[in-house]
Amino acid sequence: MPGTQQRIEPPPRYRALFGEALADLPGAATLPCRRLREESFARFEALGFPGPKTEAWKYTQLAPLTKLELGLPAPARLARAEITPFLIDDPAAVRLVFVNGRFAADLSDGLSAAMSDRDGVSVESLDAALERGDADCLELLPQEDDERGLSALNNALVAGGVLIRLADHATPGGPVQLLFVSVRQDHAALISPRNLVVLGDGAMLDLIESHVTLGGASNVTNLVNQITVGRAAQLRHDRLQLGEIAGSLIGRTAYRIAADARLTQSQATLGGGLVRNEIAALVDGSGVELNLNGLYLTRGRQHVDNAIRVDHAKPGSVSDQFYKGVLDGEARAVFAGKIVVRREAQKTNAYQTNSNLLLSPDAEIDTKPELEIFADDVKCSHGATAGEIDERELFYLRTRGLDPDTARSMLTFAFAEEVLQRFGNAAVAAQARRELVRRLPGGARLGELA
Amino acid sequence: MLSIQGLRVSVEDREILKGVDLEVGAGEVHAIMGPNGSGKSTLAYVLAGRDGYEVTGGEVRYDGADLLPLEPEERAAAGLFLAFQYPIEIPGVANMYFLRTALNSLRKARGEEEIGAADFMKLVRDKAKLVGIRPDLLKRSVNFGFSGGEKKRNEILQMAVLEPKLAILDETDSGLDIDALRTVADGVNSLRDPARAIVVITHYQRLLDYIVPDFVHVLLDGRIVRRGGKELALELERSGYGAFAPAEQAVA
Repeated sequence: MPGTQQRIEPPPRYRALFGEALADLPGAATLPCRRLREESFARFEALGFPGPKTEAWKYTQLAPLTKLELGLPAPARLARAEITPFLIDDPAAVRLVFVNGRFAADLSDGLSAAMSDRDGVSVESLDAALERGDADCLELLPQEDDERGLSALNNALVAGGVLIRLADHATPGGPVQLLFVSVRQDHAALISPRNLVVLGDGAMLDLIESHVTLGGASNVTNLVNQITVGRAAQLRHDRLQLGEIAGSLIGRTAYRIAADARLTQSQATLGGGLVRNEIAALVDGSGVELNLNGLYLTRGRQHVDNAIRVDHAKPGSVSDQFYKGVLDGEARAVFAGKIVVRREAQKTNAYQTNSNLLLSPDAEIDTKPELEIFADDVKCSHGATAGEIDERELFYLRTRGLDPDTARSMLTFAFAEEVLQRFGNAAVAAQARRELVRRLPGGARLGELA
Repeated sequence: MLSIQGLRVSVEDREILKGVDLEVGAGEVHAIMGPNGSGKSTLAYVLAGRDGYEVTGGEVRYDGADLLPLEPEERAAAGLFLAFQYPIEIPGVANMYFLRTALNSLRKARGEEEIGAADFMKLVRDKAKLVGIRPDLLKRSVNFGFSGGEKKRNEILQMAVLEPKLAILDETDSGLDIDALRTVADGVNSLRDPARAIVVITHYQRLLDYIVPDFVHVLLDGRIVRRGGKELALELERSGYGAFAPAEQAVA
């Protein structure tokens, strides 16, 4: 068990919370599910929260979060109009909406069509799968919590999220969007969604994951995405955080990627109070092409931590981390990108770049590349920059007549746009772009860019 | 139009321009030639208003008024244009949109009405045709992924659209093969106008085969050491800049 500096002992109210929740959680009536939750909770108590000396949490302290008096998510209703701006407008899309972690069937659509139209496509709410005691579900869930207390806690309380299974060579007729809305309730809630995604060999999926904070919600979402990508399968996973600077999202995405698969994750964090985007990608085959793109646009007292680990376990794959940040106000952002190349993973190409634009003298960026390379025939590189807008570029735009504010905004837009262009789904990139332009000084003048 | 007298400029406490005199009238094309480090680009940047260039002496008058207190965008609105040696890339901002934003910024500063998207489209297509540039550059992001030649051509297209009174072309020939050079030169020539002055800054005589200047000035170590007509460029091509070094003493 880790030492005291390595872990934070869960406060007693977590046990009370768990006891209170258990009877109402999905799958409560089935013994295997109940046992899984109890075992996971015990593991969480043993592992605790990451402590101040945990290297992977060096720049994001969880202590204040663990002191919050969190309750359980209460039923909340939203009108469709409130979430429409965050839904992608695509008649072929399957859209699942979760309000404070609870599946909102009335706001979701396309689910039955996705299930019936295509062979080998199965998309359902995780709660439904748990109620049914789905065997895949019960087998997959505990695989994520070996050393991570937060994952064990997610397991114990899991409710909400999706189970997507694509058989070999299956593909849904359109993208699958998961929209998680965090709304204010009397007691700030601990929300524990899990997305389980399994792509068979040669399967293809466009997955869109959106998170939105509304109404000044101070909820804490402890999310886990667990995604398996089969041989030569293709996954484009776009993640977007919009809405107010409020609440917390601690999100972990674990990928296991088989040979010849292509995976691109692109994420943009534009909202949220405390956001942790954790990625653990296991490259478990040769010929894999893995692209991880990220944009974080921080302001106010926002805190955004991007913690990435790419683990090359097999030879001959390529990975690229491309992260950019625009930091304003007193916000703090972290980019900690780790590349591991195991001894047998010869002929690996692994790259990483992180560039940051500082718009305010009080903003802070901590950027930490980490390479652990045990193979000798590899190409790896990393580079990080942080600075203000380039004087030469600003001058160029001013000589064309643009006033300094418009010039700065245009350059900031261009800086961020390089990430948005890499998104899999154009509608998601457009949502992020609109928010980006809205925030730029003199953005109205640049409205047409969005 | 442009009158420079005794201009002295320092960058980080090092004097680069050591007393430059230059008179440019409407309709004239001037070439400023000099080797690397002679102060050519410094002169271009000072005229366009870049930060970090300290004017320690002399004056620059443009249309009779002091140019130096003006911000770069004010100079642009007054009709001054600098074609850059290394134009910057702006990913995600379409060339067409950028040009319209630039033109409308100038119009707004001059108290003129802004141009709408449809009218602008027609204008920019006409201009692209005038300077011999394929309109497909217009749809792409500003200079992003452009070849060296495309970037230079794009500078000339900007010049055509913004219609400056005084255009300064900084090393517009650098990095161009002969075909690209000819395209760029043809573009510039199509913009020659009795109301417009053009200052071509170059290291090599080559460009001046295509953009034939009315006057040639040789800049060496921060001073103009020789002046003449277009034949001076040919002389320079034969003798090299070394032959002009002793003249420095004569001028000083």
